[in-house]
Amino acid sequence: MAAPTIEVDSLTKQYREGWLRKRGVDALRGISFTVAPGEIFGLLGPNGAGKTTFIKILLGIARKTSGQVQLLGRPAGDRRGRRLVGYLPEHLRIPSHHNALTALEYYGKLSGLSGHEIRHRGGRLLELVGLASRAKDGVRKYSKGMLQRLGLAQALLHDPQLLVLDEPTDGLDPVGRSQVRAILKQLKDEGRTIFLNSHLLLEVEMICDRVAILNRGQLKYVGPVHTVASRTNGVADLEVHLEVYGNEPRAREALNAVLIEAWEPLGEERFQAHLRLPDQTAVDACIDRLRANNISILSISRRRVSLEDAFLQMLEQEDEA
Amino acid sequence: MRPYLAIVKDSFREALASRTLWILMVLITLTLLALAPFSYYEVLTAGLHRGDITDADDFIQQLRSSAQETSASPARHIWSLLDEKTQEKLQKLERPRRDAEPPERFAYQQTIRELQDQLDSLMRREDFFHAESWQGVNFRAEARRLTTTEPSKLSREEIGRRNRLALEAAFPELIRISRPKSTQFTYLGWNVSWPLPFGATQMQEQLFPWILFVLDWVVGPVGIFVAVLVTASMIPQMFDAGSLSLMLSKPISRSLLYISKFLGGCAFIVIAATVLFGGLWLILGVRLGIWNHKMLLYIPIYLFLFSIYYVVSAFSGLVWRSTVIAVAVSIAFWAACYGVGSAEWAMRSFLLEPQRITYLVATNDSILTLDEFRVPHVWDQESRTWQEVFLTEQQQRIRNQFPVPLPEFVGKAYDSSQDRFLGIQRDFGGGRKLWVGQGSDGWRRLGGVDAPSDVMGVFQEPSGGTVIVNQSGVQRVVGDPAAPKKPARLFGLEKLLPQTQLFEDVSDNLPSFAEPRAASIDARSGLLAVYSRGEVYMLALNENDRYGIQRQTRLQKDEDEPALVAVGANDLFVAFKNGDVFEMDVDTLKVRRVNRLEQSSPPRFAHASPNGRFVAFVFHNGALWLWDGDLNKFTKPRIAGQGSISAISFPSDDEVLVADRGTRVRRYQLGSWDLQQQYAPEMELLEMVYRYAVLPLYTVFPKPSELYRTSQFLITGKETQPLENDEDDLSQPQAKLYPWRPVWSSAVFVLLMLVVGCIYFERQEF
Repeated sequence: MAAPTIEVDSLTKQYREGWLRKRGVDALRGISFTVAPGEIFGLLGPNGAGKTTFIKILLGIARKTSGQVQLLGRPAGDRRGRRLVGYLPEHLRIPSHHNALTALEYYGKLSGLSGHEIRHRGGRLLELVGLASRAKDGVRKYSKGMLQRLGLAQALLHDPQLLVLDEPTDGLDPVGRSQVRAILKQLKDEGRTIFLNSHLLLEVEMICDRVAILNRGQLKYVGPVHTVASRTNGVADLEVHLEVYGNEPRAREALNAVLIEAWEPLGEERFQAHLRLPDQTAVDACIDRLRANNISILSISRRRVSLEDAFLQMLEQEDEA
Repeated sequence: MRPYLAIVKDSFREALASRTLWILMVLITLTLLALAPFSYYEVLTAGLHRGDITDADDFIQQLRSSAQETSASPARHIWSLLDEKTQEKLQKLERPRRDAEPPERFAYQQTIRELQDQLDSLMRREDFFHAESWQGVNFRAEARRLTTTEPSKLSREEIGRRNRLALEAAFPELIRISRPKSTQFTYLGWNVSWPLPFGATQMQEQLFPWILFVLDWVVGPVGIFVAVLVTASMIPQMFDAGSLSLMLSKPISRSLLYISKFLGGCAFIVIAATVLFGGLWLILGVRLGIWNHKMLLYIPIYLFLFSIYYVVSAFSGLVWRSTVIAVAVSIAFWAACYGVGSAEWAMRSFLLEPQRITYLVATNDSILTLDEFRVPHVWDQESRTWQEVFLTEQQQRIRNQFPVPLPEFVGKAYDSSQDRFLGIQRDFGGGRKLWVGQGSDGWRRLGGVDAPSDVMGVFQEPSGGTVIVNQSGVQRVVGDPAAPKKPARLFGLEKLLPQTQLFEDVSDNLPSFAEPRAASIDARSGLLAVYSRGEVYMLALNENDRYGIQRQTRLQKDEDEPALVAVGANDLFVAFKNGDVFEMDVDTLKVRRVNRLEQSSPPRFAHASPNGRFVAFVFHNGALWLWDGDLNKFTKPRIAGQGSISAISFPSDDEVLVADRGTRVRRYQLGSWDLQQQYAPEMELLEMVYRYAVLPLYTVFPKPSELYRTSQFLITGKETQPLENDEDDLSQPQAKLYPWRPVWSSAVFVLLMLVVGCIYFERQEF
């Protein structure tokens, strides 16, 4: 098995605040997870959860308080490790005296590329992000979306093994987002690892293989995107909406084994029920039991619990706790 | 290195994209274009300008007297050319008394100005020179050629020149000797000045220091201030969200990132300074013929100067991430440097340097000195202090009110047989007086009789006599200058007259010694050595007890170069302002060697020991060199205070007195340099504050405002700088530039600040 691209073990970070820097604020509280090569990994969490702090530690911009972070087999912040990372920061700012070509030349050289390599790859990347026709325009004329795409190009310029993207689709229109998703998919197909930090949970759900959820510096979940919901409420990740006709006690008896979230009478012997079921087998079993108890099914609809629902539910549970 | 070069290159790109840089470039270009039309051309020096008559009273007197004469003379001819109104005014003219009202003084000066103006116009006329009237007048070679040429074959310019030379020859002591060529400045082809009384070479020499002054004190500070304003935002901008994170995520060192950003900031000044100084260098070379390639050194010097301020601005930007604070801290830093530098300069200039001994002589029972303010002192062994002596009441009054220099002593000598000091001192009114004082009389100042003009020196003859060597020859002091003056009535007014004739001209057919000039005496043989405009004369007493030329030679040297003369037993030395010391055989006047003792400092004093074996040279940078006639070589004695030596004297054949560190005098055994005795006053409170507080602080503080010293040294090659107007008078004080001091202290500061900045940046979390 290949070594993890990112390996985090009991990572803590405490900031010192106040005039005398005596007050400690825990930004990360002993988080541990790994990111495997070739996967798209999402880091989720509300504002102040510690996501940006984690990325800063990963890239050596901030120092950890304790624990271990390995990046491509080297301690986080190591210059050789950073050479293999492409980074797109949130709120990217490219100095206004640049155009796309000079910006790529500048950041490419900071990554250690030669002029020839920059010219060779830069044109292709600008085509890829859709900026080739505006390459010589000053960045001061760029929209936020164009800047974001240029940022993505510079992150890809030195052919990194790991891409760390902080809100990569921020400011992009739907077409732009779709393009970025396509690019990320292509990169994944090329075997690159992508570490994504985004507030757009739908995006994460669409792109990521696995996610980690941080809240108040603690890791709440790490695993595949489609199991976030089951982790949140125990088992269920399907939401089923039923409208049935028949005897109420018998209907309830048929559904006794499952989680009934809501039960609402619609008329004489007509009821509406909201169920949470773990999978399609459970849905089928429910239908079989209803029919065996002579209950008519007037309508049935089902939908998978979204990442956003699960995320919000997780935070609510955290707050209640 | 690639990432860091990219950062520097990016700064250049940023600078070129900056609107401010282009505005500055346009301003620089406009300034250069405005200067470009300046030019000059040379003309023959003619006419008479303000200040050319050195002694107007005497000159007018000679003109007036000639009116009564019957024989032809230059004065009579000139008098005849003056209009009647002027003649009438001159006949009535009397020098106003000292207590005269300002209108009376003004009227007197006005008449002199009118005379000068009229002479100036007369000297353009062909008939100004009249051969018969000038018969018997000694002409210089140039004058001989012009006065013997038919006037019709002379151009108007040459006639003007001939007339000027004729006037100089007729009144050698009263009319300033002019240089052959004058310089006329033009702008866009128009004359914008009157002909300045020096040729192109002298113009270039005189103009260049002014150019340096403007560059150092006007262009530099303004340019640096603008540069600091413009670049102050570069480091704080680096901390913009989304910019710094991206930079720090790259595989680069934070320290080198900071240093590269710092160097990149300097790109701005490189571009601006290259255009400015490159342009000025071209204009000075093409238009004024001043091709001084060293001027291009201003580019790196300015870069260094800028880096001193920028390192502060960058560090402030790093810590506070604010452009406004970076600018404010830079200004505060400038103020601090300026404050410390000014405090050091003020205390040194007003407290210590005025007390520095510039002349000393061992008297029969003490030591007599003069300091930089020409205040005489004697050493009081009991109180171990220098006691002021030999001051007139007026001088005492002035000293009590203002710490200003007293007028200079143009000649001084100590007569050990009578324990008497003789000094010819200028007075505040412009005259010269011979004063004497005796040790037994507490050095009370006596005499005050008018002394000859243009004195080169006062010397003690081996026979015990005192002679004064001046422009027109040698005068012997024959009366008693200390004797009280006798009241006499003259034209109804009571005047104080000396009892007897005090000076006797003992010159035997000596030429007029034109400037630059210097004289010295061999205390053993009594031979007088005189240097004047490239000529060296050995004057000896003849059978008539008068000084005549015994030998004469011409040195291969620019005749405008000021020099000092010293005579040893077998050796004669002429030390020039540029540092060349001509070593000559005293019997043949053949040049044996030309030595260069101090590379970058002119000599200030030269003295020979009584037996002539040793000849000492004190340089303006405080260095002492000693010629040993027995060993035939120069040495730089390894004694305390070498580098701060300001005066020397030989009390005997085997002892030497050396003044160093301002007010300390040490008596050494010659040869072994064993210390015999020391005369050093206790340190006063202010001096202690200077030495133990101000000076250490100043030493460790960066000195950006003193980098002009470095630039001036690199460009002129001179380690010292004249403080007064008459920089051709080598005895006048010169400021030691210490050219490398601001470089070292500032370089250490810049490095230190960069290291601190790097450590801060490395340790900081973002």
